[in-house]
Amino acid sequence: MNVAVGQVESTMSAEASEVGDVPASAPVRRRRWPRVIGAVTVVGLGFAAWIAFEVFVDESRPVPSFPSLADRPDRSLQGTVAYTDLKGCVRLVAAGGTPSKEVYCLPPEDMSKAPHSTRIRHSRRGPRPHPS
Amino acid sequence: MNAELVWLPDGRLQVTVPGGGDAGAKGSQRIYDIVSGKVETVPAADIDLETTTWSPRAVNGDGERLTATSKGGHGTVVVTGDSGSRTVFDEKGGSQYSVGDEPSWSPDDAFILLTDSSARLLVVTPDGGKARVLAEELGNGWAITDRDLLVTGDP
Repeated sequence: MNVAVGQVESTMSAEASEVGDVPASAPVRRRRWPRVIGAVTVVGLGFAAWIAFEVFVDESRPVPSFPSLADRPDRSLQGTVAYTDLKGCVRLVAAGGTPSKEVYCLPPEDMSKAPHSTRIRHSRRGPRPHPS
Repeated sequence: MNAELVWLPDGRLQVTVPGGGDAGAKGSQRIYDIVSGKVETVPAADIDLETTTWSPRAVNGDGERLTATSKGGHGTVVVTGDSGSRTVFDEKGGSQYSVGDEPSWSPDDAFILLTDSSARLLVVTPDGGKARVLAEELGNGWAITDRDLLVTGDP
């Protein structure tokens, strides 16, 4: 039994000796994980910040502005355009910019028949009242 | 307000307001004479729903086709013909900015009309010059005729 115990002790001693060799490298391995996690966290936060910035830039980008043909007519543009405005009136405008005039507002009975909403969605031909 | 506009061959403007959701309802239709200012109401039985919608000219006399695309606040209009493609409108706005997907050549093919999500009717030239605003606060319907009615027939 003693011999056996001695062998066990001997074995344990040998393992302890092997373990004793490990401490030189094991702590280094343990220290790397926090660095990796920290790096991943920093990269992740940076990526999230970049996404947030891009979204902010997109949302805050102004609607493009263009010169108005009403201010500077172009007589080379021929034709007449009819369109409905947001009040339910039909307007005419020369393709060159002017003149422009309101020619006809739909009577109330027509307006009451038409699908109507103040919300605007984009559609086949442009913004149109959103179906309620 | 939802109305369809069509220029008739005689220069009068047909304005159709579709029915308000009742099955089979034709809505109302009126014909406006720009020169005289008179408005004619079309009897409901005579309303032809097949002729109430004006179709934009997607292809011009040279066979060049207009294509509008909008993605992520970026609106473009491209002209595609036998000689290739060229971009005539290329603008970015906020993420909700877009262009209408049915731009149209003018009757004489001299310019292009398109709408954007800011309820504007815009004019661009085929050479890709800066867009110009023709109309603001645009409702759902618009149509163009080659006649200069406001110059020669202003009532």
